Amino acid sequence: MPDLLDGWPRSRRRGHTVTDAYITGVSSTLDREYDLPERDLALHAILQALDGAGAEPTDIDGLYLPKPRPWAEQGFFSTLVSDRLGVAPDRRLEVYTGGTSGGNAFHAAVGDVRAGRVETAVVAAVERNSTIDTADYFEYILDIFDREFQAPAGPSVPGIYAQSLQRYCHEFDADREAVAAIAAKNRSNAAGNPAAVFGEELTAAAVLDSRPIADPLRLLECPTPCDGAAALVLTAGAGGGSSTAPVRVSGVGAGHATSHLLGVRDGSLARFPAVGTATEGALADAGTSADAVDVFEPYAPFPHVEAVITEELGLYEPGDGAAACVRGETAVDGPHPVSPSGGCLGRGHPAMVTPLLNYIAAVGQLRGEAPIQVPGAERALTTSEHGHVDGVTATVLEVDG
Amino acid sequence: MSDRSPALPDERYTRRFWTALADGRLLLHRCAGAGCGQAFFPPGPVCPHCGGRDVDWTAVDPGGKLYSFTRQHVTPPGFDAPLVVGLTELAAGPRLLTPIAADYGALTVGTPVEVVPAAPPGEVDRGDLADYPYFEAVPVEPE
Repeated sequence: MPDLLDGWPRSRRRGHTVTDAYITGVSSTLDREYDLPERDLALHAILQALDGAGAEPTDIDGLYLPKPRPWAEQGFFSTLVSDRLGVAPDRRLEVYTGGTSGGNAFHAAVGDVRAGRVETAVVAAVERNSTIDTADYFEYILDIFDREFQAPAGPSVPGIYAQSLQRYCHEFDADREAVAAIAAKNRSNAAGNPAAVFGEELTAAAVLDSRPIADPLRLLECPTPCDGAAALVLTAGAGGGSSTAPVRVSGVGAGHATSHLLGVRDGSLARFPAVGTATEGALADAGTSADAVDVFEPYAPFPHVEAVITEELGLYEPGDGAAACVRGETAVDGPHPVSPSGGCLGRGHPAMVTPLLNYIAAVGQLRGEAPIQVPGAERALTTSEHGHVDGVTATVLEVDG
Repeated sequence: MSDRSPALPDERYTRRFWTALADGRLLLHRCAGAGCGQAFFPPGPVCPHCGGRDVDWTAVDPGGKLYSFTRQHVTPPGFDAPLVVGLTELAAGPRLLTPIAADYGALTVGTPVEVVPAAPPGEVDRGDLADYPYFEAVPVEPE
């Protein structure tokens, strides 16, 4: 049966008693390397976020985490964290779906708050890439490919995205330098973000001058792993403890294509249909449209991914997403600002934490506190993705004006 | 009711792909019966195009075109760099990720190729398939 309420804002759905979820506290930390156990990074982020929300650990009745990476020493992580926080949340979840883990953990928390099962949820993530060497990381990545049919060919993640970039340029006659301009924009944005790790003012030409990683992708078009942790407090209602503007989670959506790293069988490798499904769902849930979004903080680990996301959102025709960056339309002062935080490329990319960093960057924009502020931003959209954008989560956040 | 066997298979579903490949044949799957009729890869019990469960093995022409490709300068342990890999789109429809036996500079999107049995380009533990050949794409003269 079709959802007759599609397109209606949640608050206007008569007869539906839905509690809105608000982000009332955030905290993040990011660097090339932290010489601290994951436990301490996570506890620090959670306690800081609770302080921001004016809440105490004993208020927590839901705890949601991406399962730490396989190379993290500590297993049973959420159980350990609950114990150290002195809490006994009935709802507790560790989820692992690659890069969407943080998005799925956040959406699970939103669902529980909206349904009235939880009043104070904490979503937290931690990742240390400094503890794994490159060979072991590549070995891990080989295992995400189809072990029987794909892994023996020796693929890498940049190797797969390099092939969608080839198709993006081939099918849509996209200018290669325009794609590099997206990496230059995001790394330059990050230069103005004190919390970013890999920011520097760059030109597209300098990006294309960096060494090739997987032709045609260059080093400065690939995300650099780093260490980090983040936490958000989600509460039922805006609460009174927070001293800053309450940010409402107005829309959530998810999508998954029938694909496993090599694109959908019936379509182009340079289209990401899961983005369309997830963002349409989130925008409908929020009762709004992509045109009415003031700022985007997507999970875009390679520059053409950001371009295709803006195209899947319907903001640009296929192939025009890269050109839009060159025209300045996705800059902070453009009509559709994308990744003012620097995103995966400039900010740094601990994949379990990145979806939370996107929420936090959006919250900063909506509170008017972002280091590179989009003036008057009232509505933001973030995404997370895993694999070769096989699966996607999308979230719309708003300040009630 | 179902006419499908309720018993677990006694060997991996895809074994016939590998035995045929060792024989020089490319044996994929095709959606049969009232299904959509499309060939698909990897072989599996459900058609990924239409969800049909009436599927069968089908020998296909190993010829196709290079759909996309890359040269990886950073490779997994056990693989020499650079490594040229790509997606071959068979004339029968499906795309396969394959190593490519050619210099990167000699390739373009659309280069005619054939998928043939070959030793894997690096060291990956293939378990009970270790004795079977893997496959690669080899450029061929256009018809």
